[in-house]
This record gives sequence, C-alpha cells and structure tokens, in this order.
Amino acid sequence: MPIRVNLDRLLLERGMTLSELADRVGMTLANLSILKTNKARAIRFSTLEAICRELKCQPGDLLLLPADQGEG
Amino acid sequence: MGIDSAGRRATEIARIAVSLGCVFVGVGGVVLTAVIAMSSFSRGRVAMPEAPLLLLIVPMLLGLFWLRAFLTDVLADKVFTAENSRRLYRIGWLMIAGAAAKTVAMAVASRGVAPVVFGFLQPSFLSGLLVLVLASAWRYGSELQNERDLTV
Repeated sequence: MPIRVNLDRLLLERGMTLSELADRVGMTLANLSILKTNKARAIRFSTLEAICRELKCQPGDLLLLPADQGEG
Repeated sequence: MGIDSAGRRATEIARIAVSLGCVFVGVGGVVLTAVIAMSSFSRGRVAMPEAPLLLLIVPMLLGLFWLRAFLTDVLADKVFTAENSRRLYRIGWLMIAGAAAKTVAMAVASRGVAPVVFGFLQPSFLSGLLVLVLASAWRYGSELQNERDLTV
C-alpha cells in the first residue's frame, strides 16, 4: 500500500501511547495497530477526523505518499 | 457482527443434523462393509463385487465433514472466509462428480443413452451447480469481508 501512515512520529511528538489514542478516539487497539502498521486498506473520514482531533494535526500530517509513488 | 438469531438457530440445527449424518454414514459404512465381506466369504468368494458401493461412503463422509466445518465456522461468526468458499467449491464439485458417477453407472447397467441425457436433470447435479454458484458468491463475499476488516 503506497500511502504511509505517520502515526509513530505524531504519537512520539505528542507524548501519547497507542492505547491512549485508541481510548480517546473510541477504537480498539487492534484496529489502530492495523492502521499503524500500514495494513489498513481504507480509513473512514470519521476515524481520520477523530485521530486528527486528538493528535491536533491535519490529515496531510498523518497520511503521506512517498515521493517516488507521487509522480504520475 | 455475525448472522442473526434465526440464522444461528438454523445453523445449529443443520450442524447437529450433519453431525448425525457423519455418524450414520460412518457407522453404516463399517456395518455394510462387514456384512458384504461376511456374505462374500460365507459363499466362498474372496472378491467382493459389491465393493464399489463402499466407494460411495468415503466421498459422502468427506462432503459431510466439509459441510460440518463450514457450519462450525458460521456459528463462530467466521462466515465469509476464503476457507468457507473453498469448502463450498469442494462440496459442489463432489455433488456433481457423484451425479456423473451415478449417471455412468445407470448408463452401463441399462446399456442406453437415456440415463446420460436425463442425468443432467438429477437433483444432485443441479444442486451441485447451485452450490458452485454459491461458492463463487461466497468468494466475493470473503473479499468484501476482508476489505471491511481492514477498514479502520
């Protein structure tokens, strides 16, 4: 999956653990781990909104397209 | 999220019925084998001309085991899985193969063509085709389920 989820760096910068974030956004740790390990196939807007709200970031901070994938 | 309560009850009843079928066919097969063997030996024969009938027991047991495993997974809320799709494909092909074997046996016994022509109208042949259609739909369902499971 070319889109990378930048969750590790954002959690580190906010001093938050994955389980804390899971509790705050109302997700299970298992589902959040799927996202963190880039195994997710899709993300709902509601999930994206909840994560960005708790991490106080923009969707573009969380989701990255590597440079070599971005050229068409 | 799995099947609803009515579906769960039906699946439980079906699984019990299939389990009983496994026991019946298994025990029946052993008894039939023993009876045929004793009958042959008592008539001084070593070969058992009725032996091909016993070959039906193994495919039937196999089909029942696959069906039982399928129903067990459904009860465990593992409904649309790739393995269940594979089980349905196997059961469907087994039913079609059984119908084909029966048609050939009837054609050989009657030395006619009519059994072959009407063989395709056998319930087990048509049911086997329907099971294959269901297996294809189930495979699509398992792909959708996988997409859903990996959507956060």
